[in-house]
Amino acid sequence: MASGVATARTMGNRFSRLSIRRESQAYALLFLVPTTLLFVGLVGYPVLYSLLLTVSGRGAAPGQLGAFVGLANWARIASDPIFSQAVVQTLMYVIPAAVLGVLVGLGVALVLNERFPGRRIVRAALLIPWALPPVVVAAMFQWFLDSRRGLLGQWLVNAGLVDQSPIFLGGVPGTLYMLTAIHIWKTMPLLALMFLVALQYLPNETIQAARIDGASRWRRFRYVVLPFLRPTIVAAIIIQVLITVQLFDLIFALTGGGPGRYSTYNVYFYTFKTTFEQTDFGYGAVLAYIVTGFVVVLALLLTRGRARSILS
Amino acid sequence: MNASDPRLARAAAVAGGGLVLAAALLELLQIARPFGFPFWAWAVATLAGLALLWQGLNALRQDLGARVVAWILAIGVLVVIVVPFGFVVVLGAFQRRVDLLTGPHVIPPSPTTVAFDQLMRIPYFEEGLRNSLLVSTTAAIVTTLLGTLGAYAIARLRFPARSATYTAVMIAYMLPGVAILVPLVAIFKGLHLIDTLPGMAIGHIALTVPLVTWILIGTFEGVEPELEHAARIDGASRLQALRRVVLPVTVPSVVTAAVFGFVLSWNDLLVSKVLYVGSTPMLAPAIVNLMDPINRIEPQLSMAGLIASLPVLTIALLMQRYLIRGLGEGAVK
Repeated sequence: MASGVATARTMGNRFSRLSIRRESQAYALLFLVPTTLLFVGLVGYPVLYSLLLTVSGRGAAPGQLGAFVGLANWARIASDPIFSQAVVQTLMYVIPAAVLGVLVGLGVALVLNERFPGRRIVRAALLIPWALPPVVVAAMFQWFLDSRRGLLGQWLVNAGLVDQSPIFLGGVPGTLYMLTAIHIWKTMPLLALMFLVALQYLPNETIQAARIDGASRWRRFRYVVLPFLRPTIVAAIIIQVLITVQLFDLIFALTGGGPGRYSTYNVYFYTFKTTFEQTDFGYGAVLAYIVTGFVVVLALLLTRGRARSILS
Repeated sequence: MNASDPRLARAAAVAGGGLVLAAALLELLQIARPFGFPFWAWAVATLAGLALLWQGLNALRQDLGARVVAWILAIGVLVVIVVPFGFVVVLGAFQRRVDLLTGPHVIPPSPTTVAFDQLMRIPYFEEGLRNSLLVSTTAAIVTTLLGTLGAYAIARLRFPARSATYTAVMIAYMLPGVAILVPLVAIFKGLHLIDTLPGMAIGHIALTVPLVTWILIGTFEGVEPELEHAARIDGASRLQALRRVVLPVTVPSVVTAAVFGFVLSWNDLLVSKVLYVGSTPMLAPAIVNLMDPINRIEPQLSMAGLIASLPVLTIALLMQRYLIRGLGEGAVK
């Protein structure tokens, strides 16, 4: 390490004799070498290797390329019922998570944007679901929602809402919706914090002007706050879709894809199962490419529209 | 409601507040020990009470009703967030398993720390905890060093393919884990890195570098270029300018980025699981092992959850101001 710094220093002296642009480029090279090596080795190469996997049959050992099979692996998605089921179920996760997550997050942000004592405590509490490891969230709700020893079932019975403790994690498609609810519990606070940060930049004069013009609270929200938050809302929806498409830990830890054989699979989980449990690397790589393609397109949309609207 | 009559407004507010409070108390009693208070009565009383509070207080003073109602709703938000964690993870960790056979308890009938001792005697858990601490700390530090250099270059220096590099970082940041894990496993097998601590650390660095670099690009772009120009005119090299001028003013953001890297690594299940064969367990998969729905031992599971959440939770609460800003700016992973 020390010798590395020393080398960098002597190189720095040498660099300063170069023209400004050349010097800039030399430093860029120096600074980017470690990162570039990591990216090429651990991201770039794997992505290209996966592309080869998609046109290969089963290899001799896991991860090895088999015989060239052309687009056979790609053709399989058209006739794979589990894939189409996983696509539908991915939407069953994504749509409620995006709609409810953003709506509730916006509501919580508006509530916490009012000034009242203890507001900072609640804002700090919003960090709890974010900070908890997903497997801990899974473990926590496995017990909390347990039909025999779970607290929630008992409370619902006591409140008189149900006669006996419901089996939260066991039905089809109920289990999938329970997973979605838990996922919203974990991700909504992040969206609320995003909205809260955005709301701090809402120009106070605009609100005051609307107030003086006699605009009701609802109208102020509808015609001043909401248009101001529009870019943040779009960003929040895209972020929530991105996170939910890649929902994995909760499914893995809580249901393992069941009950039944595939009832809580999403495409991401199906990719994992195909690749690492059935060791069908070719088809797994095809599925991974589909997920990746979707995620990257959305991510590009996000940074296009957002980098300017929020970060600046 | 007639806003011009303060006595009426005050009466409405008092009645509304009383309704909300009484209904909440009755409902809490009902949940603790049922005595026949119907749920719909709570719902109706609460809604009516909130409406009265809103109208009455808003008539007394501008926005006062809105604030009080927001305060009550915020308590609801707090309950939804804190109750599952507090009752299940925190209190659950100090129960005896036999006490659970008599039904769910909110407060442990006989508090004990036996779950902790039992847990530490499970080899894969104890070892997983140690490995995770080591790997995540290493990953956070190395990632921040590499990410600082890379991000500074992308944010500040002019070189060919700069915008392509920028896009590459962004795509790598968004790339789903499953997309790169098969080839990664193959590479690691070839280098005999699979199921070793260094291999695990490298895998986690690969996981965290894009996120940390991405956050830091934003940070460095926000630093006034004039600051550096002054240092450069005084003869500082780029590296000196970065170390002496840019880093001191960006310490909070760099630390925040390191924390995000640590959290991402600490919470990770996929990489830890895939790179594991039998000798380097990590914390998250170890917790999944404890989650067998039939044979699980709940207090141990809660204790494991408590241990796993303590580091990040502590950092999060200590650094909340910086983290909230970072999250608000879109550090989403």
